Amino acid sequence: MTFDEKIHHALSQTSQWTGSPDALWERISPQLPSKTPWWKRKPLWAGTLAAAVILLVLFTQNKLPPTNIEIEQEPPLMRSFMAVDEPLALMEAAAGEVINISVKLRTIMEKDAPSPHIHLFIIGPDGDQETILKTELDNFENFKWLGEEAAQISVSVQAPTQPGLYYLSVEGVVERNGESFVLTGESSFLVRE
Amino acid sequence: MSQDEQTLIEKAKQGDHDSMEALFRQHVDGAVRLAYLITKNWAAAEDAVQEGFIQAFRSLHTFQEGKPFKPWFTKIVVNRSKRIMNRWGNTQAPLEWKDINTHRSFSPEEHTLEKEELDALFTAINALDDNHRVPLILKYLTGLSEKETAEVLGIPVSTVKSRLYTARQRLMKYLAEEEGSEDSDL
Repeated sequence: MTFDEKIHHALSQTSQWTGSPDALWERISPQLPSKTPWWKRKPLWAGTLAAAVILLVLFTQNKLPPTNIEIEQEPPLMRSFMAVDEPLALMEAAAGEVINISVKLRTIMEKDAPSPHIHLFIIGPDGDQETILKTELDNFENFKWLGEEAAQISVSVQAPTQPGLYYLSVEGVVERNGESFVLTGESSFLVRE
Repeated sequence: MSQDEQTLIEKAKQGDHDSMEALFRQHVDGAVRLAYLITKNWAAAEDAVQEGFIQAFRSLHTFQEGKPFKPWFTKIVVNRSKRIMNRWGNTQAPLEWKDINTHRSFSPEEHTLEKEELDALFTAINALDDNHRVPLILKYLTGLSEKETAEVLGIPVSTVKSRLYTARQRLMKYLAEEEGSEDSDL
C-alpha cells in the first residue's frame, strides 16, 4: 500500500457514516423551494400586462407623448481615466541562475498560529511530473508590511535545472505588535531551455 | 459532469423535489464524511450537511451550467462546517480515536501492524492544523483535484500543492517518530 493509499484508507475507514439518509432528507425536504406554477415562472407576464394597461389609458385619455421633443444638449462629460497596472512580465531565468523575486503576501491575524517562520516552496515544472523544493528562510530582513493586511518579501532563489514554468509559494507566520499573522503569497518564473 | 446529473440539476432548478432528492442521495454520504472530519462531531456534521443542501437547492440558480456539482457543493459544506465550528467555539471536545474507532471495518485478514499504522496515521492527520488538514481531506477523501481544492478553499493552486506537501511531510515525520519510539520500547 502506497503512502497516498494509506492516507485515503485512514480517512475513509474512520469516517463511515452510520446515520440515516432518509431521516436527514426528512429534515431537509420541508425547507426546500417548491415547484413554481407556470404562471409564476414568467415575471414578464405581469410587466407586459401592466404596460398594455398604461398604453390603453394613454390612448383613451388622448395623452400621448408630444411628437416634437426638444432634446437638450448635455454638456460634455468630464471623463476620468483610471491607471491600469500593466500585467507583470513573467520572470525568466537560465538553469541554475540565482534570481531575486518579489512576492506580495496576504496576511491574516490568527491567535493560535505556530511560532514565526517563513517557508518557501518551488513547485514545478508545470505539467505531470512535478517536483517540489522547500526552504525555510533564515531571516526576515527582506520582509516588509504594505498595510494592515498586505506585505511583501524579496527572495533569492536558484532556478532549477529543468526548463519549464515554476510556481513560487510563500507561507509562514510573522509577529507584529505581539499579534501573530499567517501569510501566504505566490509568484511564478520560467526556466529557459 | 454526467448527462444524468445535468438533467437532475436542470429539473431541481425548476423546483422538482424528486431531482433534488436524487442529488441528495448521490452526495450525502461523502458530504457527511467530509463535514465530520472537519467538525469532528457526527451531530455537527449532519447539521452542516442539512444546512448545506438547503442552501445549495435554494441557490441553484447561481450554479453554472455544465460544471460538476460536487466541487460547488463541497465548497458550501466546507464553509457550513467551519461556520458551525466557529459557532461552537472551543467548547467542542477534540475527536477521540477510540470514539470513532467503533465504525471501522477491517477485514480479518488485514494485518495488525497495518491497522496500528493507520491508527497512528489518522491521529497524525487530526493533529494537523486546519490549513493543512482540510486540503488533505478534500484530496484523499472527497477526491477533488488540486485545482478544484483551490477553488473550494479560495486559495491558489500553488498554495494547495505546498500545503499538501507540508502535510505529507509532517505525517511521514510523525510516523517515523512513532516507529522509532516503538522500537526503543521493545
